[in-house]
Amino acid sequence: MDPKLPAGLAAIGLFALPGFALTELFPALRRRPLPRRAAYGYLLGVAAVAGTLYFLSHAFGVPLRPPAIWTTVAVPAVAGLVFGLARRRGVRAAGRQVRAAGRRGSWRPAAWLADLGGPLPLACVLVAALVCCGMLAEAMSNPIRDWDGRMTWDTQARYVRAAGTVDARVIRDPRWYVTHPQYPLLLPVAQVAVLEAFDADPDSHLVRAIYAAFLPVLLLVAYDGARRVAGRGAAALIVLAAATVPFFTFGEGGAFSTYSDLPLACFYGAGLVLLLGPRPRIADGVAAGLLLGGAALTKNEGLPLGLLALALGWRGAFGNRQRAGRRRATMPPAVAARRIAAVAAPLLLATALLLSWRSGIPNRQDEAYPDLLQSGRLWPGIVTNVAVFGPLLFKQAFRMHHWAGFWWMAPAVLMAGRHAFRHPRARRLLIAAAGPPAIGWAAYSIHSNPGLIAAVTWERFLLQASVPMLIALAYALAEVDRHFRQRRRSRQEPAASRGAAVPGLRAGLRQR
Amino acid sequence: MRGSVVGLLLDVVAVALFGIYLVAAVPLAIRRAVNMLRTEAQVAAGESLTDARARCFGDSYTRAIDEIRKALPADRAYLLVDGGRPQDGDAYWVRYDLAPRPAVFAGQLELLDAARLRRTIEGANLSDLRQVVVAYAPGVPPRLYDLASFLGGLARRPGAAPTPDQPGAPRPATAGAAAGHGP
Repeated sequence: MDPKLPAGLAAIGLFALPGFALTELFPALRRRPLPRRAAYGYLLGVAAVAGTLYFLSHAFGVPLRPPAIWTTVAVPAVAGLVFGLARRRGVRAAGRQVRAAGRRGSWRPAAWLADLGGPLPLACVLVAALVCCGMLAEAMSNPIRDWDGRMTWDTQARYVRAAGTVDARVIRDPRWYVTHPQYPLLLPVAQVAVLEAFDADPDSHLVRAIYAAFLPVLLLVAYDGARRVAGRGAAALIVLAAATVPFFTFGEGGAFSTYSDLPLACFYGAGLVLLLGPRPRIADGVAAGLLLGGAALTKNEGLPLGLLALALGWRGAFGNRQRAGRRRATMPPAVAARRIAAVAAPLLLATALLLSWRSGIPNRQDEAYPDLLQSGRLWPGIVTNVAVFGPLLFKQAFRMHHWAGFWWMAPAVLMAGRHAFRHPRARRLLIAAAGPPAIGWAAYSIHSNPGLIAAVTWERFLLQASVPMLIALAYALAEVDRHFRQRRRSRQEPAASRGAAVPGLRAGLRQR
Repeated sequence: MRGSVVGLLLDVVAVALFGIYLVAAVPLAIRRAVNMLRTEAQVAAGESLTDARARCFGDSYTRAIDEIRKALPADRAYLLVDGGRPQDGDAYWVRYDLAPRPAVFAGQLELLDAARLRRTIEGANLSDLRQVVVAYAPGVPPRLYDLASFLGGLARRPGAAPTPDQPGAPRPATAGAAAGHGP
């Protein structure tokens, strides 16, 4: 075997192992089957390890060198391990049947296969796995050769690695030519962590493995969210559809590249799944907050998207209380408030870190959107610029070699399954999916060259929205499937029994 | 609506488009994935980093970058000039390859004026700047120049900026950096 492949897996493991240990702290995550738990673990690992290094480097001047990196990796790993052992011991002491629970658990591959639910989901998962393996092989075969990665993120990573700090002199000194110096650096810090931990050559494309790993993570998170609301079949088909979208793998922003769009899509999507999922808990709120904090440190759009997710979580916890009160109280107000606070705290910390770090960096070679926004370009640009960028948005989304017809199919499925969006949770997912494109729309409205910027960024906004979009699609697909079943049943059953046999939407949404 | 003809039509169109999408996308995705695995196994297995870079970016470009890296210490600043077209991103790729060396971007080669550039360098407290790197089109090796000879070359050719193969272009500071593209 080519030694580059195990090296790539080791790079992924640098975040996946401590992240997996961290999932032990969150009951909802630790109960998930191993592949899905590992996906959340990877995201938590990147957010925790790279985020902590970002903080330690900026706040305390801790050098980004192997001792700090390995300590940052070891602390969550050991904490998770200790917590897990203590929990198991506590369970044993309580006299529960741990062994029986272990047997029911999801550590055995045979259990995962049985859990998939049949040959069609299995086939979907096999194709998705093949695509992900191919992507990892490509990442380990070739150097970084994307556009924005080399222009911004990877160059910043080299400055940070050489300086040993996120406050690198090159980034903070206005004389030096640095594009987008105020872009958040979570992923470049992750790159530095991998390169330093394994003492890799600066030209090593080991870091590409980190980005390639986000593709299976995206698919698993989307599957997790979709399966909980739309069932195994719809979730598997949606994963197959996502895995075969060429842009997700080869687009500028996809797993092929070292852009921060795919990681942002994963952080935002995973945070939403935990925040908007059924039967949310406070611990899920902390995990969602960590993931949304990761989103804020990943890309400029991460902070507004995190705030949108928080607002949707707030709406879910408090907004429908009056209506829900007529049936049953889903969550006491104090619990709901604690849960929202649990989400908001890590997001606020990440925002404070980002603002503090940015304050020492003169902005240059950047669009400076806040300044454009203050200069009052949003109106009437939000209307008048549409003529310039509107047609381009369609052109980008309907490019066959990038999307293979995905955007021909998706609106038709959403339209056919629109009744599914009577459910508030499904509506919130649609709003969440509209968030990234709305940010893009606002950016094009104030930019002096909206055509150029739309041509190179619109597809990335679609990628950022992919997880809530895919779950919404699964909702709609399950609804369409239900329509066909109903028609079949109504043909078979006597007319008198038709009304009684129609299952409600809620029954379908409870499907597991 | 669910029982109506329109509802049925919408459902059928949705399922048909979903099916067509999968029929179109799945074989392509499988073929691409298999090709990537084959490339890893047949081309990239056991390949050194330098060989991988040479395969992707060209041998002469990779050698030129390595020569410039040897000539410029990692903390030494340089003046970056774009000798190609801005839309090709040449200056970005060279800056990435030479990072962490700090760069000062001078602009497009064809638009440069020696006197103005000299004033800019002096005014911007960049007196320790000694070298110039000119990036050309993708795959074409970049070149390293002494600042003085570069400015001299520019001054001798007012209004007509030097290109890599034109007579009168500034002489590269290192022979290796100019491999294959000497004036």
